[in-house]
Amino acid sequence: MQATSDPAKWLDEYGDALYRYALLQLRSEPLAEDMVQETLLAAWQSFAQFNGQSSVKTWLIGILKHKIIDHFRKYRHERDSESLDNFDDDDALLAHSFDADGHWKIPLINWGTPDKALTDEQFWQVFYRCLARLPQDMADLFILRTVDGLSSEECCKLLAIATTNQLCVALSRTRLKLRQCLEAQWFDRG
Amino acid sequence: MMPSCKQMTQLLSDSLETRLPWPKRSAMRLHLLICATCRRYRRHLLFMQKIITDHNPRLTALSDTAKQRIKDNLAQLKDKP
Repeated sequence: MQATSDPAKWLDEYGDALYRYALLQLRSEPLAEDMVQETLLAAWQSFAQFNGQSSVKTWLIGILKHKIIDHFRKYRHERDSESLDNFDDDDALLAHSFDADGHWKIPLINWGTPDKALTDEQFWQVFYRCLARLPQDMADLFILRTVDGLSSEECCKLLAIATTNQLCVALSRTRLKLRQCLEAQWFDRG
Repeated sequence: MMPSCKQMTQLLSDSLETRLPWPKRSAMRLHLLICATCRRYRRHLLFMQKIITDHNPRLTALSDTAKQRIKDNLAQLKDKP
């Protein structure tokens, strides 16, 4: 199938995925919108270089990724490096969670009927805050793989992860961290 | 051999990505049978997965007006040399 070079069509198909990715990193809706627009324009201008080896979506996200890196470089904006409690590195979280034999050493609390949270606007704010607190690569990974349904191969390529095995390890750590944050910030309140 | 709880977090996460081979699946089931904390961890993972799959519309998307604005801008920019 021949890929078409129509940015308006790309916008319809991949606009939301690009926007979510940009918003998560830039934390500004107008800026994220601008980035999506710039990405589509750049993609349209360089369409001749698209070799069809990856999907159009992966290719577009790759361009967006570079645009965002450029943005941070240009404005010397420190990325929000607010970390997840003290668990910004994997080892700390693992050591906090498991004893030497690999048994849980923290109690996991009962979340009750968590579905109730889904209709609560505040829960979604917490959810996004927890996503945003993940280390950048982990948040990227979680969004790309789980929310936008990118294949493992595409994720590996985009995030320069060597093997699907490493990807699986990273995903598991991401889930561990996200769970920890949701529990601390929402389910364990009061 | 029975996986540890730490290994279980990896297996449970993997099982959301792909169908695991049966020895891993049966080891996992056996562990879940005797470990309430891992059963709870599994429930939490499934809930987090559900947030994302069932509630996609709740996750941020470009508004129609934003889309139109970008389309208009692109159409203009495309015409510039």
